[in-house]
Amino acid sequence: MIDVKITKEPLVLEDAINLIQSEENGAEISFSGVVRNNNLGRKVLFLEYEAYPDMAEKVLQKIGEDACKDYDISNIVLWHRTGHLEISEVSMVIAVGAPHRAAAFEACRDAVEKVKALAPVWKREVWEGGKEWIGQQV
Amino acid sequence: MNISVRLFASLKEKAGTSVISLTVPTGTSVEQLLSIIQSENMELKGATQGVLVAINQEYASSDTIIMESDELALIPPVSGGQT
Repeated sequence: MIDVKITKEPLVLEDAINLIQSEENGAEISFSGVVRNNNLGRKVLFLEYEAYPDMAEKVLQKIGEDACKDYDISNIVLWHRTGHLEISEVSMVIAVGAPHRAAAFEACRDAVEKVKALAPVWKREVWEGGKEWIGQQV
Repeated sequence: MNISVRLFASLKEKAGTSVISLTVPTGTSVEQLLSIIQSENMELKGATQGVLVAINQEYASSDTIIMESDELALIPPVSGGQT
């Protein structure tokens, strides 16, 4: 099972965990990307995320399909939030269910890095006295 | 042929619009499209460093030929982040 979404609504980790649950799984791993209050020595006030939503969902779907091919996992959730996010809010959730833990950890890490590198999602950091789009093409 | 190109994030802000319309020769490649945009849009001059082009919501290589019916978008560097 692959579940992807780009949404303005808050991401609820428990909902992702519920989706990946299966009686055949022995491992559930999740990653939450969270808005940090500092970057490059600056005090971050909040972040604004923008996406190319249709393409981003396609990219997430492809990353999910590749994860299911490359690792022995049964379920994967790939969600990214957009819009205005306050400090400590969750910007992305990747959750993986698998028979065993090694594949679950590896698939989760791999999917996180691919989402960060490939999904057309941008963040603008707003700090005291300025704002800037943060990005690096991989 | 007449094309529209979607803009996001930093590029949208620089150009002051989320879509630009252009007339380009038939057979224009992705690489040529980026040069045309830079020469015709003063706001985007020098702003396409590291920018990728998506055709029909997929990343395209620089030698891909664009079609009038394509959905085109400029993809500035994505949010990334330290590992």
